[in-house]
Amino acid sequence: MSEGWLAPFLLATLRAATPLIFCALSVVLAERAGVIHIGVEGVMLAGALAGLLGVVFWGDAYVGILFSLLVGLILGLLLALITVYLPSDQVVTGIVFNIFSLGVTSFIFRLAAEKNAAVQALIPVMPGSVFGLSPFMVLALVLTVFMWWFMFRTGPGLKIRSMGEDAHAAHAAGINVVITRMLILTAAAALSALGGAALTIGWVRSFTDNITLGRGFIALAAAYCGRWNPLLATAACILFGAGEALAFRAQAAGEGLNPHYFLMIPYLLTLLVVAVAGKGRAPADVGRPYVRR
Amino acid sequence: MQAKSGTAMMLNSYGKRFWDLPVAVPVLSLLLSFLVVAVMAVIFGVSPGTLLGALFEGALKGRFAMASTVKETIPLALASLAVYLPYRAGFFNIGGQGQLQVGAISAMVVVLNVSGPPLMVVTLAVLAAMMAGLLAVVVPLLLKIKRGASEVTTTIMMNFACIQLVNALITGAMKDASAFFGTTLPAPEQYRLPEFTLGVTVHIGIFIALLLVAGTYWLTSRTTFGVRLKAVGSKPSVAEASGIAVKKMIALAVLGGAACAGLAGGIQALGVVYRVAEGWSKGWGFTGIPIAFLAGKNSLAIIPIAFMFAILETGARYMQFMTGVPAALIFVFQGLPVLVFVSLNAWRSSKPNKIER
Amino acid sequence: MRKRHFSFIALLLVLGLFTVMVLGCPAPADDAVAEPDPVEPDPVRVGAIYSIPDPARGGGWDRAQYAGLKTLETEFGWELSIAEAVEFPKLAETAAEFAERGFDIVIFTSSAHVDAWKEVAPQYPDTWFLLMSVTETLPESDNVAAWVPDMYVYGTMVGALAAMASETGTIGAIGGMPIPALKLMYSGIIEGAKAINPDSEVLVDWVGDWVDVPKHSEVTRLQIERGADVIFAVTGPGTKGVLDGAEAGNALVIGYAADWYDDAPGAILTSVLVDTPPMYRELAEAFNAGTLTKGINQLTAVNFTLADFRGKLPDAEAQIKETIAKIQRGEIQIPRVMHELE
Repeated sequence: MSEGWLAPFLLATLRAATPLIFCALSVVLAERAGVIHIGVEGVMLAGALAGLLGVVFWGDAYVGILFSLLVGLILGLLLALITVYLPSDQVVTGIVFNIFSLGVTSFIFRLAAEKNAAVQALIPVMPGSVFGLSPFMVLALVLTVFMWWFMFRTGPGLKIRSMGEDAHAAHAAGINVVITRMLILTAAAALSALGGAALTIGWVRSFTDNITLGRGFIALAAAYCGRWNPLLATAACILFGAGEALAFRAQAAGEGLNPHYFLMIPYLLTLLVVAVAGKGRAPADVGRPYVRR
Repeated sequence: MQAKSGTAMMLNSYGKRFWDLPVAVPVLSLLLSFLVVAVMAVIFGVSPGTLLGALFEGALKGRFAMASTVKETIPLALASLAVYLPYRAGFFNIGGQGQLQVGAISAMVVVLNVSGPPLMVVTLAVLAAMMAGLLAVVVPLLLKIKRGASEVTTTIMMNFACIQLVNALITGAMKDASAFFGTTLPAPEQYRLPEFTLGVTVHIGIFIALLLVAGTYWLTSRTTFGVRLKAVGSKPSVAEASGIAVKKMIALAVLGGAACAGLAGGIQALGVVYRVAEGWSKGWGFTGIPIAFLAGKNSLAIIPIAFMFAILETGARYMQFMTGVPAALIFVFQGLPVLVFVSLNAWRSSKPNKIER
Repeated sequence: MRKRHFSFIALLLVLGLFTVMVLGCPAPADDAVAEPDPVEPDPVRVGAIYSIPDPARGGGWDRAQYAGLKTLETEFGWELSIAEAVEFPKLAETAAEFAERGFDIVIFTSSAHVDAWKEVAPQYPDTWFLLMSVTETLPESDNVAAWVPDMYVYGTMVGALAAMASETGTIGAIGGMPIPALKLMYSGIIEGAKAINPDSEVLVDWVGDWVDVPKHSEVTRLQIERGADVIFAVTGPGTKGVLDGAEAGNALVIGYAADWYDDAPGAILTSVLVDTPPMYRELAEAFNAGTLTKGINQLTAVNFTLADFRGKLPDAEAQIKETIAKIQRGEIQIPRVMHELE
C-alpha cells in the first residue's frame, strides 16, 4: 500500500494545482503592472464555461481553449476599460465583477443546456492526457518559467515592474502607462480564463453553476504567498494543491480533523508570509488608479 | 461660442446640465442594468415587465415581504459601515464578510452557553459579536501599521480563513447533532432580539443600525475627529506633520468598522436566522463594499442605498419562482448596476480633466 | 457644496422612481393572480422547493421529482411555481412566503427539507405542506402529508446490482452529506451486496457538500484507488465529478433515480429509476377529491425499475435483471440492518 499511495497523491496534487497556477500567474502579471486583479475568480468562471461550450459546440478541445482565451481577452478588455482607462476603483470593480460573472455564466449555461443537452454531459478527455494529467500541466510549468524570465530578465519585464512600483515615474520615463496596463490586464485575464479551461477541459470535463467555488481566490492567495514571483507563486499553488489532495485523503481515511481546517491553510499561510515579508517586494503602486496628470 | 445658434446652445447647455444633475449617474446605471436584465428575460422567454413587477412585488407588497426587506437592510447598512469608516482613514476593509461570520458565531456561542436575564445575555452576545469582528481585523491592521502590508491582500485572506473557521465550527465542535447539515443549535427563544410592530414587524436591530449610521454621519462631518480622519485618509504624511497620531486614527476607524461588521453578524444571528448554518449568510459583507462606495461622502445615504440592495435581495426570490427564470439572474441584478455606476461615475469625473488638457 | 449632497438627493430620486415603478408595474400581474377568469375555477397553486439550481437537469432525485411535478401542470392544469437554489437556512422562509402568497400546496422535494417542513407547517394551517422524500415522523399539524420511497429497499436493489456487476467485490458509495435518508439507503446497499456476495465490501464516503465537482471527482478517484469498480452516488450538481472520476478510472456508475445514460455514456452501467409521476397523480387526485389527509404514503419496490443497460455487461444483464426482479417480488429476503455510517 505504501508505494501505491504516493503516485496517486502526487497526481491529485498536480490536478488540483494546474488551474490555480494559471490564475496565480495572471494575478502576478496584473499586479506587477500595478493593477489589482480580484476579478480573477469571475474571469476564471467565465473561462471555464467558455472552454466547455467551445468543446461542445465545435467538438475540439483546442477550439474550446481558444474560445476560452477569447472570452478572457474580451472580459480583460472590459475590466481594463473600467479600471485603467476610466479609471474606477479596482477593488470594487473586481468584487462586483465576480458577482456579475457568477450570474451571467449560470444564465448562459442554463440557456445552452436548454439548446443542447450535450452541455450537461461529460466532454471527451483532452487529447494528450496521460495518467489523468492534461497538457495544461505542462503548459502551466512552461508559462511559469517563461513569466519569470520575462518579468525579471527582459527589458519589457523591467518596464512593467517599474510601472507597478510607480506609475508616474514610469510615465516620466516615457512609458504609456494606460495603454500598457490595459494590454497587461487583458493578457492577464486571458490567463485567468485559461485557468478556468484547465478546470473544465483538463480536469472534470463538465460545468456547473459556480464550479470554481473560490478557487480564483486561492490563486490570489498563492500569488501573494509567492511574493509576486512566478516561480514562488507556482510553488505555492502546488503546495495548496497538495493541501487539497491531502484534505480528501484525510477525510477518506477517517482522520478526525475537520476538512474545513485544511481549507484555512492557504489563507493563514499567506498571512504568515505577508507578516514575515512585510511590504518587501510587493509592487508599491498596486490598487491605485492611475490618473493622468 | 456666441456664433452658435440659440437652439444648439440650449441643447448643449441642457445636455451639460443633465450630466451635472446628481440623478444622472444612478438613474442611467439603473436604466442600463434594467435594459440588460430585460434583454436576458426576453431571451429566456419572460416579459421584462412581468419580471420587474415580480421583483418589486416580492420585495414590497404585503407586510411579510416588507418586513423581510427592512430586516435585510440592517446587516447591509452595518456591513457597509464596516467599509465606510475605515475607508475614511484610507484603509480598504474587504474583510467584512469574515468579520460578520465570526461575529455571528460568537453571538451564538454566548446565547448557547450563558444563562441569565435575557437583557444581560443578549447584550453580552452583541458585545461578543462586536469583539469578534474587531479581533478578525487585528492581524490585517497590525500588518498594515507595523509592516506596511496592503490591507486589501490581508483582509481578503482573513475573510476566507474566518469563513472556513465558522464552517469548521458548525460542522464540527458546535454542530447540532440532530441536524444533517452543518448548523449550530437554535438560539433559545428568550435570548433572541425582541421584535416590535410598527406597520411591519421587525427586530430592534433596526435602531442599532440607524443609530450607528447617524452616529457615523455626525462623527465624520460634525466633529474634529472627522476632520482629522479625513486628513489621515487623504494625505497621511501631511496629517502626520500637522501633529495627528496617524496610526492611532487608522486603528480607531478600522476597529470601529470591524466591530460594526461583527455586530451585523450578531444581530442577524439573534434577530433573523437564530442559527448559524452552512449557507446561512448571504454576501452581506461583500455587498457592503459597493454600498459604502455608492454612499460616497455622505454616510446617511447608506440607509436608502442599503434598502435598495435589500429590495433586489428579497424581491429576487419571488421573482425567480413566479417567473421561472434561473436563480442566477439575482446575481446579475446585484452586480450589474454597481458595475455600470462605478464606470459612469469614473467617466464623468474624468471628463473635465480631458477637456481641460 | 452641491456635490456633497449629490448621492443623497440622487438616491432619494431613484427611490422615488422605484416607488413609481412598484405602484405602476405589478398592477397587471396583480389582476392576473387575484381576479381569475370568472368561468374557470381557481387553479390550484403549487409551490415546489429545490435546493439546487435547474432541477430539470439536477441530481437524480431532483430530476425524477421534476418529472413528477410536471404532471401536476400537464395532467391536472395546476399552476406550478418552482423555487430553485434555495439554501438550507432559507427553506422555511421560502415555504412561508409561498403560504403568505396564497399558494394551496407547498412541496418539499428532499429529505434535507424535513426541519423546515416541521417548522413552517404548523404556522399556516390553511396550506398543505407535502414532503416527497424520506421521513419517519410528521410535523405537529393536520395540513401535512409525505410520500416516502422505501430507500432501504432501493438500496438493497442497488447493492445487489453492484455486487453482481463488480469484479473486485469492492463497491463505492458516495454521498453529499450524511443525511438520514442516505444512511438508510446505504445500509440497504451493504446488505443487498452481502446477499449476493458475502465477501463484498462497500466503501462509503461523504464528500461534505453537494456541489464541488472537482472534489467529487477526487473522492471518486480515491475510491477507485482503493479497489472500487462499481460506484453509486447520491449528491447534487457534484454528481458530474463522480461521473468524471469513474470514467477516468474505468469504473462503472449506477445512476440514481433518473436515467443518467446521456450524462456519461461511457461510465453509466444502468440507473435504478424511481417512478415519481404515480405519487404525484395520487396526491393530485386526493387533493381534488378533498380526501388528502395527514399521513405517510409508502413507495415500494414496484416503483423502482432498472433502466436499459445499453450494451453494458451483455453477459450478465439477463441474470442481473432476474435477480432484481426477485428482490422486488420478495423472493430474495434481505434483512433490515442499520449501519452506523458517519
